[in-house]
Amino acid sequence: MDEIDALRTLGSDVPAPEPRAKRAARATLLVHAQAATPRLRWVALPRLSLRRSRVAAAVAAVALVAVVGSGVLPLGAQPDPAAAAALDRAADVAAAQPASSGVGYRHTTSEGAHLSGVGGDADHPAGIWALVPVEREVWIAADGSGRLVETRGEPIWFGPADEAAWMAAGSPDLRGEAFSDTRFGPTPPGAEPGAPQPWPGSLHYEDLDALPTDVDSLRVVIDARAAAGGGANDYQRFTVVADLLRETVGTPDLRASLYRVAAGLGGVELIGSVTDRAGRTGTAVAMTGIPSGVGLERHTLIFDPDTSMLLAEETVLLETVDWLDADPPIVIGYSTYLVSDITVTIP
Amino acid sequence: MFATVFDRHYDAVHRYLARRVGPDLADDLAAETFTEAFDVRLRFDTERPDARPWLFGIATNLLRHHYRNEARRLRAYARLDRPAAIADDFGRIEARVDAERAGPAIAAAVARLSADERDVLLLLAWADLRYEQIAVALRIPIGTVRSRLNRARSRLRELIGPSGQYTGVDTLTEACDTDG
Repeated sequence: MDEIDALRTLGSDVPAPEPRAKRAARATLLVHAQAATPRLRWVALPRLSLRRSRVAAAVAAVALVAVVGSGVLPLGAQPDPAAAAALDRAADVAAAQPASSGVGYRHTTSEGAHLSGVGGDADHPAGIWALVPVEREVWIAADGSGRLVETRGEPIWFGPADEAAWMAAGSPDLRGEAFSDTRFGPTPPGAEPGAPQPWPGSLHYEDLDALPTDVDSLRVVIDARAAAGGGANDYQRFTVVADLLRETVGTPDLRASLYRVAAGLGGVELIGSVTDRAGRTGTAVAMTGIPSGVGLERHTLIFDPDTSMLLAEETVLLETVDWLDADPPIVIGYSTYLVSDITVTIP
Repeated sequence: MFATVFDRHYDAVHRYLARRVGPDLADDLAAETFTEAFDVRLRFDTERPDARPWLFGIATNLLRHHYRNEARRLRAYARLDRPAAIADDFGRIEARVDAERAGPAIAAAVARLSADERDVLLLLAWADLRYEQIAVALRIPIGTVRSRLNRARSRLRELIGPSGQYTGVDTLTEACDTDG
């Protein structure tokens, strides 16, 4: 039993909704629907090309460019001087860059593949797992408005056993929608004044302006986030740094401080110069840790030493686990960031 | 068409909300989830294969205004002393009893998580969403889902400890006296 199993027992006996409540909710919805006039105009969006060839190329490259280091560092290790130097150099590059305009939409285009699983049966109690390739393009404004376009490819199997189990189970959905294109925002294009708000909360906007750019202060913020209310370890701090570099288009000052925080983390190792899946040369640093419920894994960040921008990241499972029919080391997720900029408008 | 979405998903959305804030408030929030969803339906193709991430995202967003209620709910879980359930074989009984013994400690630990991490964790455990569905529900990159979930699970393990007992410095009740 793990903590998720224990958590699932909590409230598992919550009663089914009262038929009276369900009827009331349905009636409320009906009244609401009748009162609402179609004030929002749906704007048909051009469908982006699937670019299957690029997805296929990226998929084919998974096994070839997996960035796997030479060994497993013990948790709590000291900072690697070579990694710290590389990260400090990236920080210096960022710090020397002019402040960018933060007005507009943070725009990121990426390609990747991520682990996805469905519940297993008696023969596969740990589930059936595959990598699902995803192309993602997102525009996010400070008010949470924006647009998200995602294209998902066919599952990539770790081995024939998983694929056979999946087919025997009736080919349950593993990837979600093949294509989605959604606009978010408090003021929908074409909406009349007072029109209903779109999806509450809209896109998640990381307010980078609220973060300190002073390294020590930023380290305190990262500690607090990494700890989730308790004590943090350096692997968790490393993942917070990655969260703040990913799809955020931070200011050069902030990016510099993020790299300096990473340089001080014990266990960060320098992989060196690598070529990412888009064919770009970058510097790779990695951290090894044991996220709960996954297994020993290595999280690698690849950045451009000339611009300091995050180019790619990758997660590699390093040990044999009982839930995945694959021999380690094996890539269980990656993202390649092709475009990271600020745009004035959304196409 | 939208009635189909309601009929298909109301029970699951209500159940998720009831686990988080109790059945009474869940009645209101489940109804609100579907009226909010109706308002934005034109931005969502209701014939998509799965509306659950979309609906659970709206429900989770509504919960953000009710963390005091959630804290009370978690406090109730933390005080829970339930009998072992009857299962259909001995192994499952044993596993279930283990899980239920850890329940109160888990509830206290969940209360100590940040709102962001709690949302990701409970969408996984109580809404049965997969990582990519959670990413859709919360509109965050899947890598961020993973890192939040990893931190939440590590924190739970740290707070519960090998004994299965809550090991935080505060009491179970204090742990649940949080607004997230």
